[in-house]
Amino acid sequence: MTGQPTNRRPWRIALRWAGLLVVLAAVIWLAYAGRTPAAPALVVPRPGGEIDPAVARMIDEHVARIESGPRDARAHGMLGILYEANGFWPEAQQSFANAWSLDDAEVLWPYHMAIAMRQAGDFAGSLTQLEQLARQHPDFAPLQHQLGSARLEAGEIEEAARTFQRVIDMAPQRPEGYAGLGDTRLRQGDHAGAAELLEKAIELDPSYRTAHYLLGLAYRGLGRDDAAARELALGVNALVRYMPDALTAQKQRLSVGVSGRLVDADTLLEYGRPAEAAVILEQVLATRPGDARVMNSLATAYIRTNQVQRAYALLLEADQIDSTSYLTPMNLAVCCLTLNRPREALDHAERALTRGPSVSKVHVVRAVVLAALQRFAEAHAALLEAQRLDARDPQIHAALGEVCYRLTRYEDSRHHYATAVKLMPDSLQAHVGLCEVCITLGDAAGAEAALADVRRLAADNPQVQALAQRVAQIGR
Amino acid sequence: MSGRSSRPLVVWAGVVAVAAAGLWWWLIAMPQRDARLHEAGSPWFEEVAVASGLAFRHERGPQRYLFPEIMSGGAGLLDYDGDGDLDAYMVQGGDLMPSGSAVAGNRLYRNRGDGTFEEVTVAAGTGDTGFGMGCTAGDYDGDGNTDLYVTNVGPNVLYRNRGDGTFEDVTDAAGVGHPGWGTSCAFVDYDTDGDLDLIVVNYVRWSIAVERECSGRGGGRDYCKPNNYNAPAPDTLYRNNGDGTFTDVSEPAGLRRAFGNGLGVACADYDLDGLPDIYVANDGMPNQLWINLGDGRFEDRALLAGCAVNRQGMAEAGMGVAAVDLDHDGDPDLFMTHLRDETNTFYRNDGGVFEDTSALTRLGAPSIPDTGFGMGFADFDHDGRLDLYVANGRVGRWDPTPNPADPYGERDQLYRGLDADRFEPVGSSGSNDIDNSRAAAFGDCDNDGDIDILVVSNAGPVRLLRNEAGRSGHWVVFRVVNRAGSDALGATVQLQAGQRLQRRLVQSAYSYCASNDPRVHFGLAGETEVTSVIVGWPDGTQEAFGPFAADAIHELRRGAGRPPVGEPMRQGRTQRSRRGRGHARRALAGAS
Repeated sequence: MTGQPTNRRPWRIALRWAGLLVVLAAVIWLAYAGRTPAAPALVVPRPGGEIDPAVARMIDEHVARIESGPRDARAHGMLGILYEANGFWPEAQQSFANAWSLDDAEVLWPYHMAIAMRQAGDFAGSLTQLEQLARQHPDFAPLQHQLGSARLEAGEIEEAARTFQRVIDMAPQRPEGYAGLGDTRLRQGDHAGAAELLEKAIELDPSYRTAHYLLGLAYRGLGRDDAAARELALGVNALVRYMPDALTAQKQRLSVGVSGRLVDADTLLEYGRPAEAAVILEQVLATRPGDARVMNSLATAYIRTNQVQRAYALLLEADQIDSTSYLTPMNLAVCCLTLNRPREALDHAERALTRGPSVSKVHVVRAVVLAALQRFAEAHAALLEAQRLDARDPQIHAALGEVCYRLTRYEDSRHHYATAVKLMPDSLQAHVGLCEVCITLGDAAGAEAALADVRRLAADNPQVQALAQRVAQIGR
Repeated sequence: MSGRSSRPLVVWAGVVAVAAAGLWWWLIAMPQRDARLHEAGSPWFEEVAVASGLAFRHERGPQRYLFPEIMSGGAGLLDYDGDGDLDAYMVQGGDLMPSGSAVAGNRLYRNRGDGTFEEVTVAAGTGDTGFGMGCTAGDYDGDGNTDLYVTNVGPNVLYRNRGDGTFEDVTDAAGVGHPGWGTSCAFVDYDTDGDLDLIVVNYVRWSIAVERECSGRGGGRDYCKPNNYNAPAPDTLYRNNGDGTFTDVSEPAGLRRAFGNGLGVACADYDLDGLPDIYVANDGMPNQLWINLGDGRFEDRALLAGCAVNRQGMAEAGMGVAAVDLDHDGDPDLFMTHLRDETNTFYRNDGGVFEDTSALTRLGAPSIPDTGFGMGFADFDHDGRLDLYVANGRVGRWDPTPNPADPYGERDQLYRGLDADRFEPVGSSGSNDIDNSRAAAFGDCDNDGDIDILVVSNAGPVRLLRNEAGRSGHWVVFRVVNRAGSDALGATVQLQAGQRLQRRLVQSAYSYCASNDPRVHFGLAGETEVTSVIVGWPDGTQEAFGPFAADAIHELRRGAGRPPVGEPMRQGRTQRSRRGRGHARRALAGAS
């Protein structure tokens, strides 16, 4: 009798409880779903100092985008990139943190947050974040490369080596992994192993200065002294290098501050990319019309991209704006020389000399103009004056090599060319000059050595073949 | 019976155990706990400038963003009156505009002997009013008195010490009034003829006329970088003629062949050939290692030697520099301070061949957020290992700003030396002000056996950091003097105490725009006696001294020692056997 009710009651009770739980869960879910978490706080620049109008305008645009969609992770992330591109590191870090909180599947936000953390001074925090991210995103090569570099800086050589090996496995056609692993080998005393990796990095990107410098150190350790000297010289004045990611192009586009843009343009000019520099400088000039310095930089970019008439017109305009700078007449002299108007070039060079008598480059340009006018003795004197003012400039040695050759002072010419190639191992002009003067002096060994360097720099150049034939002739 | 008889034994054993534990606590644990006090966070230094009478404030005039404004701030610790304690010389900035406000000029403070100072500038005649940068002290005329050379933005000044507490300005007569922008400088007997020559590092060929408008964070107005001027200045080497005059030998010596935006200088025999070499730290350009060829000429071998640029090939913003034999292997290593976002860099020397080992020393990563200027290695806590103090301050407005009131302020850093030539940051140095530090001068100002620090802030008050950490171990200080009784700049000292061998250089010129205590200081940890000391004199000869008691200041006078027995110290023309050296030596020789 008592058994039946006791058997049925627990079933009913369980059913009731289950129903209650379902209702409760539904209520909780509805309450949760109906309440959207608060959007992250908008990051605006902290007070302190004025802000470039172009940067301020761009910040306003990005802020407006976030205000219209406060939970848009990409909008927060792009604001972070804008801050990163213009050096607002704490603001960049916070913006990336916001983006990450809204979209935790996207690795770019926490990755750039780690970069901003390092730049804002939290190296240890940045390293920790990179390590955690690398575990979650083992196939993201830029992150692995960044982690390898941070581990090297922290003195964790073994870990860095493993990380760079992963970079190579993921991106075998990029040079960064080879250079990083080469550096770890170097630190472990394995000079031969380091050299092999660094040669591979340079093969993939001959303009990779850090790889050249490290290769020089490796060659030094191997006793290959001449090669070491050449590679070390090629590696000097390297820049920090990260592997590009999906936001790299955006970052370059958002670097809108004038000073940052000018630095970018100068770097591009130095690295032989004048067309890209010209684009940036045209944009800067649009925001700063009449800035003679920008006009001169842009004219330089035009000259190097064979737009000499355009450069000439721009420089004449700059000359009207600033009548005190030596820079404008100096660049005008270069323009006129390129346009085959040496007499006018000399007038500009003389004006530049009046304005900047203690600037060695002014004397160099004047000397080049004088040499074009076949006035070699005066050119020689001008170059000596330039050398007195700044003996470290290898271009002066190259020019002296040329002028001494014209003055039939061949031994002096060889000395200056030899100095020039030592200081500028990647200067084709200096190597060719050295080869020429060695041929003239009948120095077969010197000519062979110089020719080898010419071949290394420009194997496909048709002039190399002609030079090689002349070297072969003196060899006989 | 047996239980009863064993009870006193147990009681006594307990008493003995308790007594032993107490004794252990009293003799062993307590002192160790005291020694660990600093590890627990006690400050290593106490700031006592005002209390000591050093009420100096650096001025740079109204902020007009003229480049020298942000670089100025030098100081020196020297014993100008020969009374055995360190006096302080403060190099003042001023107003760069000709129409600007009147300038107070440099200040000399005499140490009363009790660690307090009184100002004696007017009586001493050392109040130069140029826009000051740095100074160096040394007895250039060999009369036993310490003279003073001051660098300026504009003509430099040489003060000859008359020996009666006063100086005379002998700049013109001596021919050393270089008109450029001088920064760090050093007395060095480069031609080993027995008198001190002078190297003056120059920064940028700058004048108000070439000043330009530059922008910083976010495009706001800020100070330019040196490379914005594209006008690095050649450095100047003066040869002492031995008659109170100098000759500018920069050109024949070869120093015009390479130069950069020079800020720091450290002289030592880097290639161990017995001749002093010169290392110049440049701001944003490759550094120079001027190897002394012995015939009056120098050759820059920094690139091949591996100390022109950092490990990545990047020319860093060299500010201060120090030559220090960190690994006690007989050759001086190099450490230099750099700009934010770069590391401070340690170059380990192996017989004239350097390797950037900043990461291994752990000195690189912690320095990335800050801009280092003055610095020095010393065994601040007397544990037998060198520690490091770095004075930080900015040259531009960057984020984040630790002190909203001073956008250029940063916190200085103190590092404790560990085994294997590694360092770790110390949480509490005692100098917690966030200032825009420039020069840091090191020396035992109160003669209590530990190293104190004088720190100059750009547009701020000077700080005198009295060492409180040095009480936990033994120490010894040597004043190393030549026959005339002057500090033997360029000498090296090797000390043996117990199993520990340590080496120091006798030098006053290191750090940034600073002159330092030329006496050599050693922490001895638990050692109470110095077994022996070998001095390597600048001309290559050696003398042995000792034994010496610890916790005292001793004088090592040339000629008063004895020939060294056993293995002499490694100094010049010595055998080298380590891997890689042969190759590296050939590479360096090839460069010449």
